[in-house]
Amino acid sequence: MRMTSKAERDKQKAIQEKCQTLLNQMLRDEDNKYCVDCDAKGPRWASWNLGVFLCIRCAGIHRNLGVHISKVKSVNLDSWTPEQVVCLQQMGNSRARAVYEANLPDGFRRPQSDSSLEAFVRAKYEARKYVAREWVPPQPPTKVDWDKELELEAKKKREAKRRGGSQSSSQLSSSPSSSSNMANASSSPSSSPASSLSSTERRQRQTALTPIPKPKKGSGETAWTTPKSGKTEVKDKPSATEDLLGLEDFLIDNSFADAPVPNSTSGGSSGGTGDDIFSSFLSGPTPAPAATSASTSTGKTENSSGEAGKRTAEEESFFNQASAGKSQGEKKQLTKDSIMALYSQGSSVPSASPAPAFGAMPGMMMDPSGGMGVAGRGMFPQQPPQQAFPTAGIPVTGYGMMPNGMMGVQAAMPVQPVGRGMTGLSGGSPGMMQ
Amino acid sequence: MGLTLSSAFTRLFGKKQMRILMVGLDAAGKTTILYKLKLGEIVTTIPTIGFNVETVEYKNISFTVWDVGGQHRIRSLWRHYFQNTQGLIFVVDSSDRERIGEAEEELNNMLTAEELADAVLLVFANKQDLPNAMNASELTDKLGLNNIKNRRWYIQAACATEAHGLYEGLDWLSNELSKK
Repeated sequence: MRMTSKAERDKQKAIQEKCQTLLNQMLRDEDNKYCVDCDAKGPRWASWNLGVFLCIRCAGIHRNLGVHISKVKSVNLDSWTPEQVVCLQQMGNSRARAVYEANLPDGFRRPQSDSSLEAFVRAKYEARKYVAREWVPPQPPTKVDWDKELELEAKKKREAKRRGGSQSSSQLSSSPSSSSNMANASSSPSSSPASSLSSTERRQRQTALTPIPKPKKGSGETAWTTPKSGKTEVKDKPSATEDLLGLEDFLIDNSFADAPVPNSTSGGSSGGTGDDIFSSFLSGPTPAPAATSASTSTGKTENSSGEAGKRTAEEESFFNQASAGKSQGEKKQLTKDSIMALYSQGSSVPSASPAPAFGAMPGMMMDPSGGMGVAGRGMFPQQPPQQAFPTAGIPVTGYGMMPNGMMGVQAAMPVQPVGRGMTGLSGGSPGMMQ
Repeated sequence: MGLTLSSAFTRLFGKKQMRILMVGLDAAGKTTILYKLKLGEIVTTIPTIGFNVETVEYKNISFTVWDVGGQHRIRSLWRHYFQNTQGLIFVVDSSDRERIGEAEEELNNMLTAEELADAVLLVFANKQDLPNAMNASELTDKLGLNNIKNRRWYIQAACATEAHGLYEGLDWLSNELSKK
């Protein structure tokens, strides 16, 4: 960052803030609440050129691929450029799954061990084994110019100051067109109403594009790609109902109220429906980054499964839809095509989707029992990936505070001391995972 | 010349110590190098938030290597590790042409620190196995190494995953140490 004048510095700072706001908004999207590769909850890392959000473990694997394939950044610990943020907005986890996992074999179960996960990630992005062949990559944004918006925001800020009103960061983030611009990935100021929020907007956009039954709550864009909607893939699995709903409750109960995050300033009061959660996020100040990731424990998960009875009508209807949609293949296809249409941009989209590559998969990735859904997550509430791999680093129980208020993402990890470096130098332990 | 009591002590008994600080942009391969040196194997790493530290015995020298996370916003923490550093290892992802300018900036920023005035500089041009990797001479140019004054430096092409170049780098460091 070469900075010259104070004005330039201020501008850089404003851009940084805006990037951070938008990234945090994206992370609150139902889309991006789980690692795109392993389904771990609460990703805080991203591959910006691929446009996906990752858990720290998969971030490590992506870095092994090399920057010609994946360019990894931490949402909180790195600085971002507007162009990089736009790349993420153009894609996101759901779309990325539609693209990079289009030809995933039926019954595929996400690998969880380090070595098989790396093999999967390499197959997915390096060999592009499952990629949708009809996919046309979007044009990378050339130059994103936020000058006008930032000026507007600064102006508002000044005015508010003059009026004696105290400024909060939330005001900044909700100023006109702050995010609509991004959503359109264009640089011109848009005419969207004030306090537009990209996540909502994106949801709506995506809703319009995907004519599939979906839950009211959550974006649920492509039913088969979001972890939640792994449900739609579930066939002949009687316990699915409870598990799924348990997961819902689990999400609600756990992620916010129970997260033992010292400074989870936002979302602490949430509960009830997903909409409430969402709105509380929207209106709240930019939340501590930690607030979206929760700690999980087996006991909790089981508890919440038991609480399935308290599901809302919304959830009920969602479930009915999901289970009614037996023709999952058809649905999947529809979804895929409609998503692909986003990328084809004028070129004709072959409607025949390539046949899934059965048998081509390494054995370890195949589900031995068959009949499991793609996402898998919803079906193993008693054993979420985090449990199986305590060092995966995603659900954390404590957050190391970096001196400047940043959050260390995996303070609780036994293997990696966080933020201790400045004072005590007791055992730096390996940053490896097993 | 950083002659501490402990190094005076060890001088009597033959075993030398060298305090090494290993830094560089995120994903340059610092942790991988550290554990390749320590364990002789490639470990699965995750991004380092905070630091790792290991002692590596090589040629009768005990290198204490500090490996500090390289994410942009935690680079300001590097300076807390500067004190008493005798050798600086700067690791570069040779295939990351996009960010070589950023690496250059960080390196030259760091070299202005007074606490590092006596530290020698070893640059690992890592990830030589990746496509389109810059070689050592190109990196010398891009990192502005030739403009470095009053400091011994050396650039070593490396591929941590194959262990290429790592011990050559340590050789140079140990030579430098014996000169002191």
